[in-house]
Amino acid sequence: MALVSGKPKCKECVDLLVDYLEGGLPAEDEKHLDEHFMACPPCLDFLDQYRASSSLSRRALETEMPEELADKLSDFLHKSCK
Amino acid sequence: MNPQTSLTAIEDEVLVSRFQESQDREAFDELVRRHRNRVYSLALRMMKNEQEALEVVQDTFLQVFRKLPEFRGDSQFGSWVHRIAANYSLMRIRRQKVIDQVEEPIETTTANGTFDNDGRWETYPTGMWGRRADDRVLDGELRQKLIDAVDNLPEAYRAVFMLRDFDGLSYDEIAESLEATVPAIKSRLHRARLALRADLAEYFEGRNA
Repeated sequence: MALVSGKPKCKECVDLLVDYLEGGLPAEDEKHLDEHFMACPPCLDFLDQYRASSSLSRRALETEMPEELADKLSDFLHKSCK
Repeated sequence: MNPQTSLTAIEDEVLVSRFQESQDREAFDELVRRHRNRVYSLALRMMKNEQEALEVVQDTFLQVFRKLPEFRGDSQFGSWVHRIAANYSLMRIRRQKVIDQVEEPIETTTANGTFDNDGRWETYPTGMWGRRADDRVLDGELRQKLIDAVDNLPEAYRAVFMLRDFDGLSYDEIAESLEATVPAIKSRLHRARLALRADLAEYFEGRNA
C-alpha cells in the first residue's frame, strides 16, 4: 500500500500502520505519516494504543511450562530420542 | 565448575555444535530447557489446551532431535525451533477445522473510534492507556484480559499474531507456513492488532468509568 496523497487522512494512516511501524513505507510516505501524527492527537493516541496492545499481549503470553508438563516432556524425550 | 552452570553460560550455537559432533545429550537437554517455555507459550495459545500444547512441544523437540544433525545455522536455532512448533500447531489446527478465510477489506472501525466518509475520526479513540505500556505492571486481572483477548481472535488472525508479534518470525516464513501471500499475512496481523486494541480500550475505559 502507498499513500494516495501527501496529506493522508486519519483512516489512511491507520490502514498503513503495519508497514509504518516496521519502516516498510517509502521515505516520503513515512514522513507524511510522521507529520500527520504530530498534528493529530487522536491518531497519536490510537498509535500508542495500537503499539501497546501488541506489546502488552506479548508480555502477558509468556508463560513457564508447568513442572508436571516439563517432567512429562523430559520423560517423553528420553524414551523417544534414540 | 558445576557442569550445569557451565552449560547455561554457553550459547545455543555452541551447544548445537556439541550435539552435532558427539551427540552430547546434556547439550540437547539444555537447549530443550532453554526453549521449551516459549515453545509451550506459543503452542498453548495456538491450541488453547494444555494437553495438546504438550503434544506440540513433544513433537517439536523430537523433530529438533532428529533434524539437528542437518541444521546448518542459516537461521538462529530458536527461530528454527519456533518454526517447527508453529508448523506442528498449524497441522493440528488444520486437522480440526479449516482456518483459511476469505479476505475481507481491512476493517478500520473500532469499538470507540470510527471514521467518516472523508476518512477523518468521527468519534475519537480516547484514553491515555497506550502511553508507556512497557512500564505497565501486568496484574492478574489485566494479564487474564490480555490472554482472553488473544484467545478470542479468529484462528487465522491469532496464528499470524502469535507467529509475528510473539515469535518474531519473518513475513516470508509465516506466509510459507500458512500458505498465504505476504500482503494477506500483513492484513491479518493488522486486523488482529485492531481487535486487541478494541478489546483493551473497552477494558481500560470500563475501569475509568
